[in-house]
Amino acid sequence: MEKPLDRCLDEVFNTPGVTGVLCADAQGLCLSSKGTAHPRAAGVITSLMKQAAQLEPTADNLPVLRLESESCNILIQGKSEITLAVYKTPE
Amino acid sequence: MGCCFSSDDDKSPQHNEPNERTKLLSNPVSNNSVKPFISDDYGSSTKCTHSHRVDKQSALNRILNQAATNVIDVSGLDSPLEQNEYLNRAFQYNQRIMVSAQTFASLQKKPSLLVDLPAPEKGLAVNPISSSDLKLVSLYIYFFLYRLV
Repeated sequence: MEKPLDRCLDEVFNTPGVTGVLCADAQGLCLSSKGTAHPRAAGVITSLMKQAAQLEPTADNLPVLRLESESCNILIQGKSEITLAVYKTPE
Repeated sequence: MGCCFSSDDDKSPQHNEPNERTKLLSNPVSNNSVKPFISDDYGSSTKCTHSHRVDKQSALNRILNQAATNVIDVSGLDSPLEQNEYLNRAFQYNQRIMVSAQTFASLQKKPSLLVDLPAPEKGLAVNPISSSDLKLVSLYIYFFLYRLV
């Protein structure tokens, strides 16, 4: 049942520079994670996405978040009931 | 017949006294016209009398005295400041300005953006998210939605 989801995660994880991937639902529960992405981060990532969406409520698309740190950059994008977080090495 | 009118003037001394024929108004057309007052005629400077010259001089003196009383000579006012006095006054004025500026400093609105960061412009000046990263997350979120639905 999780195979399609796992295949998606594998495709993302195989992208050059990506060290981790996390997929969460609208309630912040982790659907699947891979690499350096910790499942406990699903709630925080979903909450951040919801907060950022309130900045521009009338926008058609949800914004893309980028959390920068010394070790990695986390890209967060939400769509309808799914929130995706991609962990990448800094450029 | 008789004489109704005669134009001959009667020059007898008895008729020097005013009578019914005495002219009340002087003749406007007369050879003995009054000469006009000549004041600044260049060609007739010789006609100015001594009294007239004196009047002009007194008028000039009156004008000069009036101008002298009305003129305000700025350069001739108080003695110029010395260097040290000038510096002292400048220092005092600056101190007064700083004291009064403190009362207005509290009224100034504090910036509401990133007040806890020492240099927010550095953080705001970083490069935005790259187009490749943007495409990465945008594309894969659709993959996830498509695969999960």
